[in-house]
Amino acid sequence: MAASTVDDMNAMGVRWTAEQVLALAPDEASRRAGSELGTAGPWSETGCDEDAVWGLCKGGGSTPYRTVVDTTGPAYSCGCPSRKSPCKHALGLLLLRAADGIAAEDSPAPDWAARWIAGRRGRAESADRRTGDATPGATADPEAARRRAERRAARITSGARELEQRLADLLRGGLASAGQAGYGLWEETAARMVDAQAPGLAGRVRELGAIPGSGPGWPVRLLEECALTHLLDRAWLAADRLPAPFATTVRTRVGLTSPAGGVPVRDHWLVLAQYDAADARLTTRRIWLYGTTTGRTALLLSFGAAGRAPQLALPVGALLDGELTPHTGSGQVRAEPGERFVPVSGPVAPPAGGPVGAALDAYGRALGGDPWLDSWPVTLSGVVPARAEYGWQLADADGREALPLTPAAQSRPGLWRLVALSGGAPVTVFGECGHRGFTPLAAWSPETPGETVPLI
Amino acid sequence: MDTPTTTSTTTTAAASVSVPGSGPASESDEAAARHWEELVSSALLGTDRRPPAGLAGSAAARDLPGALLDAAAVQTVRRRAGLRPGPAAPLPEPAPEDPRAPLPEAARLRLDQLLAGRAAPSPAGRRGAAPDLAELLPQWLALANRHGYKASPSALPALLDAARARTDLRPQALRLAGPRGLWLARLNPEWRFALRGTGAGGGLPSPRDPEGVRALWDEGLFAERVALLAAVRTEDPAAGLALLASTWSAERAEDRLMFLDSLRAGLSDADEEFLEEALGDRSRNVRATAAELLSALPASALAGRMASRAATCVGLDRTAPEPTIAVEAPHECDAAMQRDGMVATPPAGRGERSWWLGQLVEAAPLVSWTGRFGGRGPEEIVALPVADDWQGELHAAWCRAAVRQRDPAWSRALLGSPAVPPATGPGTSSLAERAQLLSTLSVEERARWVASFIAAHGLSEAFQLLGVCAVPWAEPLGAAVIDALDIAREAGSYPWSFSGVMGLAERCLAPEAARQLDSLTARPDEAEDRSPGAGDYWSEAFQRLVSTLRLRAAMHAELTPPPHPAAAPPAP
Repeated sequence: MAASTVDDMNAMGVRWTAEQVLALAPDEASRRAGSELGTAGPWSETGCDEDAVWGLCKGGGSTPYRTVVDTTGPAYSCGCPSRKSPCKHALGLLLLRAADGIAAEDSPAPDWAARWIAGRRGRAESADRRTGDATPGATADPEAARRRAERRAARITSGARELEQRLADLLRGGLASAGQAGYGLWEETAARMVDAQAPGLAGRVRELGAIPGSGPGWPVRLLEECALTHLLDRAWLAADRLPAPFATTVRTRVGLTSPAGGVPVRDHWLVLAQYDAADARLTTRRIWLYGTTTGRTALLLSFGAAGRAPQLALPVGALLDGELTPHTGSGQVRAEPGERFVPVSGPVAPPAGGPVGAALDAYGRALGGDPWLDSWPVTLSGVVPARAEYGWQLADADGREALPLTPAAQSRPGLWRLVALSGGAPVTVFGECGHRGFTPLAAWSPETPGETVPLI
Repeated sequence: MDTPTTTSTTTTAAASVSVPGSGPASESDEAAARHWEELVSSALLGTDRRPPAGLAGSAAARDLPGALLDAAAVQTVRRRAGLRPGPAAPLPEPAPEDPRAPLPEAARLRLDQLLAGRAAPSPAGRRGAAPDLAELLPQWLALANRHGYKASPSALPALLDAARARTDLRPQALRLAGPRGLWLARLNPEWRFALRGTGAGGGLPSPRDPEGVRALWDEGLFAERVALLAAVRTEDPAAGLALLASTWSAERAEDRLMFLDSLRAGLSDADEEFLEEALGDRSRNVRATAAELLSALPASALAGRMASRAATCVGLDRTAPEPTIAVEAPHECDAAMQRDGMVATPPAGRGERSWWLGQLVEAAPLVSWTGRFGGRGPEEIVALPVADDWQGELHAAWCRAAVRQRDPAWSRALLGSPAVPPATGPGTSSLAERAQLLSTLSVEERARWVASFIAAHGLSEAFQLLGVCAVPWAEPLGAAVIDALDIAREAGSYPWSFSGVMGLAERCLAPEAARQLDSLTARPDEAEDRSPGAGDYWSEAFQRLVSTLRLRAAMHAELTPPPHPAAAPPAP
């Protein structure tokens, strides 16, 4: 609605459209609550400049909430007690802005908003300076840091040895007994891995514990995952003899955070998908981006403590100008976003894609760099959702080959959006292709190629 | 993003990752499958009990579990890397083309928003200051259909879900969903409801396709035939009558009644002959319906017969000092009267003669009374005193006649002045009957009358009358409602006493009224004699009203095809 006002692609003034704002909402309830606040009624003292919007929102209490949004992050600040981010007030404010409800000359930023914005700008700049520094972390004691890293590596090594022992015991006695032993044994082993500061191993062990209860065929799946865990243990124990990129991948898989060390890539990024997966401890948000000029697909991860929405939120279908720093390591698509991510106007087209066979080839190739990959981002072009006896699949338009959808994707409402969008005709679908099948995340119809339809 | 193709050979399993997953021949695939089966059964039973064949003798025999896991890792990665697509199931039939225009961008987003709002209802109880999106969905759908748009494909699942949950949305939602919506509904059992109606909706032949119409009329199910007759009648009343007449005598009595009822639409003097014949029908209900339809045609022979019967019962009392209506109720209900649709036996508790009188006057053409009362017009006639307590009976019958004959002059006279309290006015004090009388007036006159009524009597009795006013409310009705709400607030009432009218106002006030309302949304200072807290609730209720009106204005603007590319958003 409002995005057509600025032609300059690099201008900061391209404002979020209402659709993009709604796509930022962490859940359906926030979306609704936010759209209700997208009218002038509850707002006062609103204003905006090129990169920020602010206003007072009348809430339940006597003092209104102070809401301010930095649209370049985006980042939000609000006086409300909500644990969601962005909260409904931030969404409402952005919607009001999208609907031309806030004029730039309304009022200068009040102190409370100006302070927060200045604080953010300051941090962004100092972050820039830090990353611009030739030797990051030079201020800390390098010797102490090295000793700390060595101590942790030694702990992980003993954890990996212990895990190897557990796996060997399990195989000696037979997986059948694992079905009876129950979850407790695994939970205890997972706790040992947490003690060993190897969260990647701990996560794998927890998943192993869930497999015996996962339905028919579990012994095969359990053997596969035990074998891959064993592979990771062995790889860690031999990490000093592995090629550097692969060793980095192994360290990441074990759970060591490695800094994003790649060469930053600036592009206009199309937001393909954003979705959360939560367990009792952590909410993990995955955001897929596609570089429209580099053709590069990148994954942003953002984490929130249990029950809290992760900070980073990008609207699906938006085109953002910004810099991504890729993580190194073989078979990795993860990247870190730069401080400024600014919406730009421009033609949006789906990523180039191929037939279903090529998607599996891509997954297979990626396993060469990271054998622990469960799936790989691919775009299928010219595919038709079709129903087979076992469930839905995506078939090449020539009707020969097809990829089954993962069981989880079969039961999501997004499946019906995909089927409706196709109407029995070929569409382009982005998703994750892996050994469990294909998880569709976004789709484009040839009639409306500029419209990214989220499927999750 | 290239990855190394080799890794160190010193790590037994990790190195094997680089082994290409695809064997050149199916033989090696088979061998691999056998090998894998072997590994699984050994793992399941335990290497102590069942050492894996092929590994037992090798150098790794000392660490059998490790050797098994090494081999399993190779197999797993190899299998995953070599995955091939399966055969495709038969592709679905493509959805039929839908030639309608797609929704404008903003309207498409609005629909998504309205549908999402439906799915997440606001917290129970307090309605808050924000618009009730679910209440706007019917309006939005009707408007979009009036413009002839089709829903965007990706919105169809939510649209079908909405129609599934709310039957009142179904006709409009399914129309907007169109052929692709039906195509989709066939694939999901949850949306089966959408297919049920197709016999009566999408499946009808065009009324201008005589062969299709004839085929369906002769062979269709009852519901299909009713829908077909209604469609043909709307398009061409004479063709509808001819269709019905062609099979009339062969239809069952219940069916005849329903078919006859379809003639209400487009009723004209051309139907008289057919209806007059139906007065001799075997079924009493069919006869009564035919008589009712004939009496709505003031020029019909039946109306004439009724007029002369009524004239013998109602007239001016020439002996009275001032002009007065004298009533002499009928003494019998003979066979001819019964053939003309009169029911001889009164309901329990009513006298025979007044019952007959009511039916006579109701069926007599209103135009005939002017002649009967010396050239007096409806107002004058209604103003005449009626002798012997017959006024109530007589006026009530006139009210029914005015509604049946859609006579605005008589309706106006019977409604009387809106300023007069309903209990003392002419005609009827029943609000339901007044609403019916109002519905015969023009849209503007209706709005004017109800506006004056509200100005005089407030909102408490206006709900039913507002219900028959056209949307959006024409001025001065909108202003009258707003003033009355303001007065109610001033008087210290709580807004929920007016929640019915508030809800109507949100849906029916013209969006331009928002400007007039702005001053009312402010929270007033709490005065001592007010109901505590009422001011806040009123301010909230008015805020909701204003934001709903703004939203409706935006909805209209978004759905109206722009005269030039950049349609400005509605001014606040």
